[in-house]
Amino acid sequence: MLVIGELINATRKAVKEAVVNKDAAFLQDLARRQDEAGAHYIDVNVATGKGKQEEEVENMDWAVKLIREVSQKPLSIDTTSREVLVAGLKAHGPGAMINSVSAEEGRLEPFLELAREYDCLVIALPAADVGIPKDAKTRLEVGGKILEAAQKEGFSPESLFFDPLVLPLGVDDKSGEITLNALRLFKDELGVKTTIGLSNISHGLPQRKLLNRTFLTLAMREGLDSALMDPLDKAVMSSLLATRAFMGKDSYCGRYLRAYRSGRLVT
Amino acid sequence: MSSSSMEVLAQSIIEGKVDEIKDLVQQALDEGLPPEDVLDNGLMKGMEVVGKRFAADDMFIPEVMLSARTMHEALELLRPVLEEQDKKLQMKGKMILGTVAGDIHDIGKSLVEMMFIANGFEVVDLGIDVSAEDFVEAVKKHEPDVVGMSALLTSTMPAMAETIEAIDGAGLRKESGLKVIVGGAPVTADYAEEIGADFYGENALDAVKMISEVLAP
Repeated sequence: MLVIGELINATRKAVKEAVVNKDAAFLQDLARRQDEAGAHYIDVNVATGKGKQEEEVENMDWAVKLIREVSQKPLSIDTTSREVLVAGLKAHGPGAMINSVSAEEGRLEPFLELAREYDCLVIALPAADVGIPKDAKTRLEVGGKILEAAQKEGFSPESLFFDPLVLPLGVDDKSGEITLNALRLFKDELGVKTTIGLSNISHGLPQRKLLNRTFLTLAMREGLDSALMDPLDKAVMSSLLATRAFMGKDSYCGRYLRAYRSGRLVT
Repeated sequence: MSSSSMEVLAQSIIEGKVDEIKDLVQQALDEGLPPEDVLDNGLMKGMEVVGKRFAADDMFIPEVMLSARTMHEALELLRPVLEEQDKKLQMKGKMILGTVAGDIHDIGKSLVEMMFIANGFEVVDLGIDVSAEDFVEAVKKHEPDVVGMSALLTSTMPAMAETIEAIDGAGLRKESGLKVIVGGAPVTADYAEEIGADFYGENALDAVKMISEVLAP
């Protein structure tokens, strides 16, 4: 299970302010804490909505460089803009993650070319120009299209993580089940890896952390390979370790017990 | 008798008694209560409570959705009764709402929709990835008081500007008093002003407060 730390995202108010005010120490602290808490990748989204595209390009360059100073963990460059992505990848060097490509015009082939050039893992959204397909079957078709294009570019399916697109449970009481089914479908039909934006599931409901960690357990059982999530939430990280152990993926419960000894498990 | 019926109606909206609401409204009408009273002093009172409690984090999205659905059921019964008496259903205003072209986010927009419904507006939801032309067509068709636009990506914010241009290009804002409100995580008050929107809603509650004040008789 790859954990992608979600906290450096400019849609969050404190991060947005830090980006606007060029508060390097704030972002470095957030990166360091996610690194220490066990994130494998650290997501970086600097879209503040202020100013022009050029500023977002500069902000990405700035943020990636300053985070790399304090953490060895690879970064996930989170943007829909090719220019911003290029800035992030240039500042990062090879081995980043791209969050994300989709089947929308201009966001598939150009993004995949960059992914190959910079040797990246790629999160793929099954969204097309007509929007997010409502049903799992059409999402799968769009997913298949992305996979085909990626293989044409010489990608191994191993480096692609498909996100079945999680909608909040509060907005649609079937969305948990739909996502779980979609995860299974992507794995069975396309044989690809999967990822989700975990905290989307709990938007608008109380006690979100409880929902997040319960859903993570269910999703892992459906073969989830990665999640964009909050690594500073000790309870969800504990659930992750417990679930891995139950799934027979923790030899002699080694990771679970090491986490216990270092005081990282909470109930 | 009548005041307790009103309370029952309000409470049924708050609790989202979607299967019982039509019978309760019918009972109130059978008791001889005027339909506009049933609406204003019964059902809408319940919706007001829902709006306030939602804003105070005391009610949650699924509950508000259920209340809105219950309201919808009740209106299905009340609307023809009111029209029979040559009275129009007096909602606070009519809004059309959509996420702009190229953008497929609908959570924020759904929240805005619910807050407006919960506060007595009639809302036509155009969905996600709505083109400027579709907004223009919908304004012509529904003649709303307000157009609400949502964008969650910096790359789709310009579609808001294009939609406003298209609405103004078709001459739909000038004489009708139509207002345009925009919102969404990357959108700012400065940006709203720059593209000629009438209002910027920082969040769903903010939006509904502003529009309620503007449309107040």
